[in-house]
Amino acid sequence: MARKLILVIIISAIIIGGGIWQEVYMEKTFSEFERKIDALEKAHAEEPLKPEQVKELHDWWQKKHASFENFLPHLQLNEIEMTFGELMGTVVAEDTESATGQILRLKFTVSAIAEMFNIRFGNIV
Amino acid sequence: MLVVIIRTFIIFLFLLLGLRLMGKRQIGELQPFEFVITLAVAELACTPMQDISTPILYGIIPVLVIFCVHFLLTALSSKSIFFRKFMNGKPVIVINENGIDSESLRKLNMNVNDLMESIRNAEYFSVEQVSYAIIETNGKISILPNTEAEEPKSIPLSLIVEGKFIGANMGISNTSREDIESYLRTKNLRLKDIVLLTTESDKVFVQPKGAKYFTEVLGAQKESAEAIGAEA
Repeated sequence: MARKLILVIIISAIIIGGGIWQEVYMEKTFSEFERKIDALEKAHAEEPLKPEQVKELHDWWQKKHASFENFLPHLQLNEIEMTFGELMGTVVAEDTESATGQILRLKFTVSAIAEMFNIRFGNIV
Repeated sequence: MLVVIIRTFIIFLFLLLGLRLMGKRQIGELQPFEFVITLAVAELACTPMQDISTPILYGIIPVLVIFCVHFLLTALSSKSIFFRKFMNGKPVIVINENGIDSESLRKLNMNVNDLMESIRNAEYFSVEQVSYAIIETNGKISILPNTEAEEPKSIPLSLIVEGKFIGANMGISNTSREDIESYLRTKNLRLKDIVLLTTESDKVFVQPKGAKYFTEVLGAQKESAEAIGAEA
């Protein structure tokens, strides 16, 4: 009984600790992601984006994506990947107006995913 | 495919850990809430096994949380009688010295047929053979046999159950509704007052609602000792 109790306490601590860590990590990463997209949007308003700028943000996201795959459904994460693909396509094609649209799409997708999985009443019920 | 195999293996290990935490109870020994846990865990474990777009943690975390909560509830139940009653309910006497307690049956959402099935499963074919029957918190029946009661020579046929005639058994027992109704009139009983009426050879068993049961050998018109109590 005592051994089981210790095991239950350890498992509970890992689960609760992991949950809190995930919440903080998600909040931090998605906030940073949104800031980076805002910077990209500003840069695009000044002069049309270059593929390297999009690639730089995508590379940053790729590193985060690998860790998010452990605790977020892959379908939602792939939504971000697809938007990146579309954004890159418009930038390479030098379609400035479509690129603006894709940046906004990326921004709203990231914001929606962050909201879908953070701890809030709407997600609990 | 390899991904599914690896994920299934990992979830299996966590299920094993959880079941070890839960103890070694068998399905028939599970308390109601443990049975619900078993069903929920089966469902929770299945989805991430086969759906590789769902993180494996979505299967592992709920399973572990459920087992931890179960462990804590079990620990609380073993410390507090009040909590144990709240979680598991309490055993209920359904057959006592007066026979079938239909009020207790109603509270358990059981009917007379369920009760008869349970006592037959325990190898008793007549209510007379049972002094006390208790429905345990896991749904099983415990019986204190009435050693003085005669064993039935054949399987007793239920002719009235909860105030309703069982038509299928009428033909087998060569009895008509009128016969039974006139018999009940001689006992000042109405059909709706009968919880159970069975016959076996020439013997009749009657369990009126809220009164002690009685048996009677119809051929000899000889009332058993219990009949006195019923007519009183």
